[in-house]
Amino acid sequence: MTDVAMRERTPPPATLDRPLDYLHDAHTLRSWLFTIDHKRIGILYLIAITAFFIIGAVAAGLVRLALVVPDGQIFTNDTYNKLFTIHGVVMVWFFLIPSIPATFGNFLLPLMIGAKDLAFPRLNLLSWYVFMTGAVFTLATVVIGGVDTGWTFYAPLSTTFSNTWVVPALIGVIVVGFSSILTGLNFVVTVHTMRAPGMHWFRMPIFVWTMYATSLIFLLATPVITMALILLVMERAFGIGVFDPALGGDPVLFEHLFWFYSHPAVYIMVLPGMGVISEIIPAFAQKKIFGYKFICYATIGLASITFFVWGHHMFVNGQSEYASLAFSFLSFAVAVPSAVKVYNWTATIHKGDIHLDTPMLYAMGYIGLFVLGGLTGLFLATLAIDEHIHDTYFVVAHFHYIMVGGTMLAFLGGLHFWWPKFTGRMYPEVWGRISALLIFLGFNVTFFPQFILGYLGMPRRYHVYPHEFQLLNILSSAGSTILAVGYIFPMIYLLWSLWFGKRAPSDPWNAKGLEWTTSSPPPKHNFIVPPIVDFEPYDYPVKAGESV
Amino acid sequence: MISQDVIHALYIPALRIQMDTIPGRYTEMWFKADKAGSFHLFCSEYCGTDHSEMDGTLTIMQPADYQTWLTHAASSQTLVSAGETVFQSYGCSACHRANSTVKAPSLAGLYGKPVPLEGGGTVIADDSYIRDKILNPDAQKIAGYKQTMPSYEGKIPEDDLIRLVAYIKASKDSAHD
Repeated sequence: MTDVAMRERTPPPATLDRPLDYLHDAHTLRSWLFTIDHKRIGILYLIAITAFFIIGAVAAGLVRLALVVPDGQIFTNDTYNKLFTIHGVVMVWFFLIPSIPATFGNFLLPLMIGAKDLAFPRLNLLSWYVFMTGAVFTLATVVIGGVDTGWTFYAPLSTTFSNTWVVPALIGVIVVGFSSILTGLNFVVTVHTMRAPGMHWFRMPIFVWTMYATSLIFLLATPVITMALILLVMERAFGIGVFDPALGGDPVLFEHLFWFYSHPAVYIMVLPGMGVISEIIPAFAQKKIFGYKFICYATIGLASITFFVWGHHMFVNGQSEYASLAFSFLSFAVAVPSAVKVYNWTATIHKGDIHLDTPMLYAMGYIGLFVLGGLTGLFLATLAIDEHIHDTYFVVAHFHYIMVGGTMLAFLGGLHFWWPKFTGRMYPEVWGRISALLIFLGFNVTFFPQFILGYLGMPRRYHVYPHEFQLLNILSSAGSTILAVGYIFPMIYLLWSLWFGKRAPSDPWNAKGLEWTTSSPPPKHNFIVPPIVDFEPYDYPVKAGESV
Repeated sequence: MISQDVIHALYIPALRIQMDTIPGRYTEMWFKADKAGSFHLFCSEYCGTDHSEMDGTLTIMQPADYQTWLTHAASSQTLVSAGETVFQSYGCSACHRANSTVKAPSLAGLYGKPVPLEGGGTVIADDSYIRDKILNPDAQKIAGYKQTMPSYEGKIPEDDLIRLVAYIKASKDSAHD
């Protein structure tokens, strides 16, 4: 194609060997809202979670604004509590958990294993509607007055003492859980039954492995939180005593049930990010991924160990010290498969033909921040140290390094990496790199001071705090403005690229994998000729003149 | 420690320790004060509207300064002497005093001892045991006694319970004194 044709705003007419792509196949709103095409459903999720991300991010911005002054003069305590609660609830349940699985997973899983669609396309659309129904409930609480329990919903604060709209928020989260379960079921069945001829287990891309492991966690852990939250609703709405001691219940029981899901949920957020990074790094180092099978085993290892570490959230609630010792040991064990992955990525980069395009910048940032987040997790898993930094800003910094430094960077890296495949357009590379660097810088300025704040003894969820903590809080808030700019840029230039971006070839990165063998964007049924897999995964480098 | 409403936590950053306070059960925290001074203390478990204003100061004094403070500023009652008053006012003493006509176990010297149970086995009489026995006496029946004591669940507030436990803890077995 000539350069002029690459910038053409309408796609060239369809031919027999090049049918209309999934975006141009039909144009009506109905064709989107009733689609059963996994790619369109992925896009529906992408639009929805971007909207939720904006809500969560605005709440975070207001929290940082409030903390510029130590006396809590900007908002009332109640408003502040509602802001951090909505930030936590929206970011965890409406952004991070569905982020990579429901968008990239939906779009890419069938493409990567050479399938036409997911195993249950209608169930997939239902998952999106269930997700949106839950979201409406939770967002309605924001409109009618908010909820102030924190995203952890600890009893008896949530069941007896809070005067806010806890029940609708809980119903929203319960409903969203069913969406996760349905998506997980769909992915597991798809991976088992829909792989193309020759695509055996150890030829699957790591991203597919992580989607599979994540889906197992969806299936095994989500029902526990669903049940626990239903019990909360029962206690709050009908006075059935389960958690409130005044009604004969036990508040620690809720902590157990909550963290039995919510710790594995960390891996629902982390594993998909690891999958994305494992795709980006070999492509931009043009090198076969180091220790492919070890990464697969480490993925399953993480998904298994994560079910046995929930007690590390309860080291200071009077839990037996023998239980705490076991949970501490198991939490340390998590570091082993995590480190395996990090070493594999760095060994892949080592002596590679490195291209520092936007996705690779995000991947590099991810490795550094994930290591910092992971190592500070070991601080928290150490009983004697946790005694001091539990429930302080140290914890806040630690999990933001994992959730934002890890998952969010992987999400943005993946979004840039597959943007040409999703939309058929290239994003402006220079702006991409500037934003990636801004996000890295802004993130560290925002969250690194919080490690220090926590170690100095500032508890989390504090609106009013002693004056000696003000300087570090101002630094953190200043960093969040840089971070905000880093988020706003991609929203603008990615939208711009939809109409004005250069038209993308099938494989703009010289990347390997079945998704790059079909056109960008792919046709409605993904592949014109059903693929047969007779090659090993990550068979880099791409040689000169080789058609991938 | 115990909470009267939601879960809180006592956090003293200078000592690098914290512990949740949970409604319905006791938790423990201890430290050895080896330096005088005033230190921040915070609630570190989110507890609702004014969570961030639930703070205070830990003051550690030299013994002599403490004595001065006791004579000049402190309330006249210690936890134990307040507990004795409470022990009388709820009528505990009617049955549990020595020479009572009702056959109830004497509480003097009870604390820290094993208590034989009706179904066999023993239980150590610690803070939690004493609290549970006041609130729910039917739960662990004591060997050799007929269970007649009513439950005080909802009748004695948490602060009085703490005073009672402190009083019983301090009651020495007079026979051995």
